[in-house]
Amino acid sequence: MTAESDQDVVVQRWWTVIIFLFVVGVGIALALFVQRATTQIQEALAEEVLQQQHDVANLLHEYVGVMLALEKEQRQATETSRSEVELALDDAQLQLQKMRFQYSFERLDGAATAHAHVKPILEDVEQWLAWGLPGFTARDSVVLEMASQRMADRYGQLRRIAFETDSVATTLISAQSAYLERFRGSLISLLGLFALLALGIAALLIRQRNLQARLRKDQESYAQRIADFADIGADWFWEMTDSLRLKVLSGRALKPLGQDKAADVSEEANTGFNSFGNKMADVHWPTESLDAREEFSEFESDWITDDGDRRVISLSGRPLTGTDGAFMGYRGVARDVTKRRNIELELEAVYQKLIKAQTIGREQAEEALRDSEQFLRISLDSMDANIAILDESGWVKVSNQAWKSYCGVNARYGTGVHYLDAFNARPAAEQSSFHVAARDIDEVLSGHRSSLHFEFSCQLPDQMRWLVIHLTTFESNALQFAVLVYEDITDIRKLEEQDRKLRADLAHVARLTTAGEMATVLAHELNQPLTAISHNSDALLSSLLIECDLSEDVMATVSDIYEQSQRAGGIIQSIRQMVRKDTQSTSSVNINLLVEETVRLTNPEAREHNVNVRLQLARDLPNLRINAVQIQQVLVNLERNGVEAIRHHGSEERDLYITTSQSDDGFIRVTVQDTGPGVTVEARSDLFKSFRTTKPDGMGMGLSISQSIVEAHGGRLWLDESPLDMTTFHFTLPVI
Amino acid sequence: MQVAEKAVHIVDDDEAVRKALTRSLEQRGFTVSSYASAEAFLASYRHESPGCLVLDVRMPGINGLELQEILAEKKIPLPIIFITGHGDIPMSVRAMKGGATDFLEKPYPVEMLVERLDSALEAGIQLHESALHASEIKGCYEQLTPREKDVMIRLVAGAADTSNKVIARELDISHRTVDDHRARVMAKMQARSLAELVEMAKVCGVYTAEPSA
Repeated sequence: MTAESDQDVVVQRWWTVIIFLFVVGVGIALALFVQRATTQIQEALAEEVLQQQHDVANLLHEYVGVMLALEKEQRQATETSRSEVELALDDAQLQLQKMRFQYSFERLDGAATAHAHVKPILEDVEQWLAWGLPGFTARDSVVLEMASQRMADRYGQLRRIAFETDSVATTLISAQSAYLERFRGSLISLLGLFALLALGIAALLIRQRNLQARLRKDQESYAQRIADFADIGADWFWEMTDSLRLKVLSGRALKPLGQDKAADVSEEANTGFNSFGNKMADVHWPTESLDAREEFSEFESDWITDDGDRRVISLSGRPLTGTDGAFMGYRGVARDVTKRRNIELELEAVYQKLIKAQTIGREQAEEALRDSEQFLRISLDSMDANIAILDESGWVKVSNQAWKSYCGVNARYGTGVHYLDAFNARPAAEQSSFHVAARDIDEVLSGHRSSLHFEFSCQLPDQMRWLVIHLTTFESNALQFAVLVYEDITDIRKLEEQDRKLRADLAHVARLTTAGEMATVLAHELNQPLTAISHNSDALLSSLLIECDLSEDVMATVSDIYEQSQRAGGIIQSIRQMVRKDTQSTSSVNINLLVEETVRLTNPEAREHNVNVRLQLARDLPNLRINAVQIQQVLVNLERNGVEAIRHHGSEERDLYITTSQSDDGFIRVTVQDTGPGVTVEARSDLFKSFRTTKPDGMGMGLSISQSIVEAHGGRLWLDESPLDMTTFHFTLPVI
Repeated sequence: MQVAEKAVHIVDDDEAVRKALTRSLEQRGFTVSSYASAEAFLASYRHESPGCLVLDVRMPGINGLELQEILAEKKIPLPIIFITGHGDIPMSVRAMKGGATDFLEKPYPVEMLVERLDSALEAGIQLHESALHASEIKGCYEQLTPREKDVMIRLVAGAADTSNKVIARELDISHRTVDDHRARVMAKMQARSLAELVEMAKVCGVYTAEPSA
């Protein structure tokens, strides 16, 4: 190696460096274009991906995550490829710059040759760019084309510079020819560089395509997952467009429409859109929230299906906004809450019932309370007597209806009146009579006496009235009260009077009947001997007439005996007729009424001896033509006998039965039965004879009189001999 | 004969009355038989001769009114005079309805009883005679043959306008045969006329007032 050659080598190296730098510059420019185009494409793709991701992300967070990862990955990949290209381009630029320096300053003449070599390569690049990268869009192609165009322009400039320097270079060509071979070597390396660049781009593109395919596959997978979730889920997913048209619905939501197939959500939703959209349009949406673009949740709305079923839908929705904040529609969930609502309704009904039951219970309790007060009031009001409850000063606290109307006060002023003032409306005679009792009443009210029973009569203008005041005290809540019962007992008195009169009548008739019976008995007993006397005296007279020798005196005596016997008979007969006359009138009588009246008259006596008189009266008995008072006398006699028997017997059963019945043979039978000792067999034969009695104070006329009365009526009176432990008398009366 | 015609039967449970009655009536010429009870009377009474009955109403056992019914049932033709110590109107009405001749309340004037007894005995004789006559007629009637009885019944039933032809047609025999029967009936019954035969038919109880169809 010489010094010159060393210098040459140094020069050559310097040129090589310049040319390399030149080539590198060109390469960098080209690479910048390519990278920019690629970046644009990538950005467009990324944007699309982002858009899709955005869509998907809203539906599912996972998806978003994956998309973000993807994007990151893609960006990483993009970054990697770009740095690779940049590296390659830097290399090429260096080579080109080196070549240019070599070309311009060392071998200007060689520049043309160099250009001639470079040009086809550039053209190839242009051509290659013009063909377009597979998978690139037209726009991308345009961008690339523009890039290559610009590169071509640069080349044009470069050529012009090359041509300008050509003349300079031509002079240098010879000098530079020695270095030409090395330059060629550099060119070859440039070519290799470009080949590398092309390979890098191709790899980038393939990788890009793979990424896209993977992205699409992931998208499909996630869409399917969403569809499945939507389909399986009980909730319905829906979307609305910005014009509030219902857009997407999940498969289950379509079931009520008869579309059981739940396939791709978006597809099915599209096919079912109109029908179901219309159906859902029937649903009442929360229009206020929708109009205000507000989020809403759990808005419940009624929906009547075609089958007439009433469904309740719960709607939740959230407005969608684009990246620019513009309203894009709604997305939300709908849920069929009919079941829950029904249960709620049932619960509500049950609750209402419970409440009602409680209310009713309370009302009933209140009512019961009211009723008890009412009950007391009604009880008081239903009484005929005038009743007032007085406090210890004599003021009327409570009074019944009878009191109010009696005292002539209306319902409102029935209370709060002094009891003496209450009688202002009564006639003066009654008032003054009442005031007589006032002192005693005050004594009771002041607690000096416990009760008062005061009867009095007063002569009212129209009639005599009997009144009774009954006053008893009681204590309530440590306060002294008195119940004043003021009663008009005139009717009772009248009835008592009537009874007394009846009893007197009966007694009178009994006396008469007894007298009659005695007369009858006497008549019978005396008539027999009188008859015998008259016949004997007649026989004596006859025999005296035959004897003829007796004195006139004897004849007269015997005649007198006869006459007087006749006279005695006449006297007896006249007594009998006189008595009979009183008791012979008959009338039509109902035997049951007669029995009842008789029992009423004799009841005090029976009660006194604790005997229950029990009636067993046959219904629809015909009336009898009888002397009522006489038959009553028979009844009284039999009943008294029974009561006496029970009284002296002292048995536990103290019942007296009076029975009426109709016998078949045109008679009515009356039976009087007592639970006394019965009649002994010895006593039976003498039972109906006069003046035979077992009673210490009896006359022994009762049964005998009764028998003659019944027989005079054409009936029969007898003792039933069958029961030994009871006394049973029957008598019959003919139905005429 | 005289004695039998004035036969008086007395039934009274009172012995004093019975005795006194018997004495005074016998003094007045009556034939008196007395009984202490209805049962005693029924046991010994034979009604071959006419008479009358003096009957007390109230007696133990069968009383007067019941005895009256028994006698009526037995168709014994005995007039009854009731005497009673305590008669009343219903009782006397019942007695009179039962066919009693009289009803006297004790004590009565003896002449009154005697008076009534006389008329009662007269009625008793007539009753007795008619009873005798009736038994005679009945005896005659029993002697008729059944066919003759048929003819007699139709003769008295149809009265005057019943011709033999009608009877012949009814009995399905010739009217000459009817003529023969008729003559025999008249002869056997000893009837002098058809009117007499009708009376006899009444006694025999075969007379029907209504003409048979």
